[in-house]
Amino acid sequence: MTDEEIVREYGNMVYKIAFGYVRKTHDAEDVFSEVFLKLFKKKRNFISEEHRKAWLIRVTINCAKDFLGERMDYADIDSVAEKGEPAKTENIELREAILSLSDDYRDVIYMYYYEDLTVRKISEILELNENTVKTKLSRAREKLARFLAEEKV
Amino acid sequence: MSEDKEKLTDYADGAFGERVKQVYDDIAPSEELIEDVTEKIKQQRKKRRAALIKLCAECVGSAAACLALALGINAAVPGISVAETAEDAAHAEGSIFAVGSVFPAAAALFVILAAIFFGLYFYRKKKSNDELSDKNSK
Repeated sequence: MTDEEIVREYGNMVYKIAFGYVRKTHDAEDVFSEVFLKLFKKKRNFISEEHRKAWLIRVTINCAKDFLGERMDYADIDSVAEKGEPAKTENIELREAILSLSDDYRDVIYMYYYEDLTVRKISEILELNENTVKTKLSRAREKLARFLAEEKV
Repeated sequence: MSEDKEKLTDYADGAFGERVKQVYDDIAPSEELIEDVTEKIKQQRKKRRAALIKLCAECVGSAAACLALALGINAAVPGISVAETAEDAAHAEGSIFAVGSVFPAAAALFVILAAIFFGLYFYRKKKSNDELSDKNSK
């Protein structure tokens, strides 16, 4: 794959994970650039595309966390949240619910539902026990359910 | 099953997964961002290549530098072709290289290495034959 093909193939994934953390378009773009510049900075030998994908997920999470650490306190996030991309009306509540999840819960929700990764694969990428991932997934669903139920009341 | 449990099961099913996908589908990078980052990557490579060319030219002589450009830099910087590297070298300020000189230099090195390899091969073969005939004559 050429550089451009790699950016196109994984750009969506990197951007979505980054946006989940920083929640502002420009900040997500900064993280996006940083991740890809890091990827191409030196010759990396990935044994498979799966390996490259896992590397990108981990590095995106780390870059986004570093970015937040450098730019602002996590506490400030709520005040700037949800200013970025426009959402379709029917998804606004769920989007708010997902973005209100803590980082580790949101990561597993994204990887499980959007990337269709198995619990085992998620546990390898996040370097967590499989049972921990299952617990996080279950709790994240629980939180989403609660949040959406409260919104409806 | 309690009402809460039923709700949770609802959120674990495929329909919920589809809704999550829709949420994330709305969050996507712009075409400009992808193009901008691709361009930045190209520029980053160009800078690294230029630095390596400069280093080569400063540290080694012209012929050796040409070979390093063709063989070494190409291996060190992923995704860069020999021709691209040679072109940059030719355009480098104060460069004594020309695009055409890279390939003859690489070919010359190949011939020299091949000559050394075959020389050693035949020398060792001759030596072992001589030893064998010495043993037989004794």
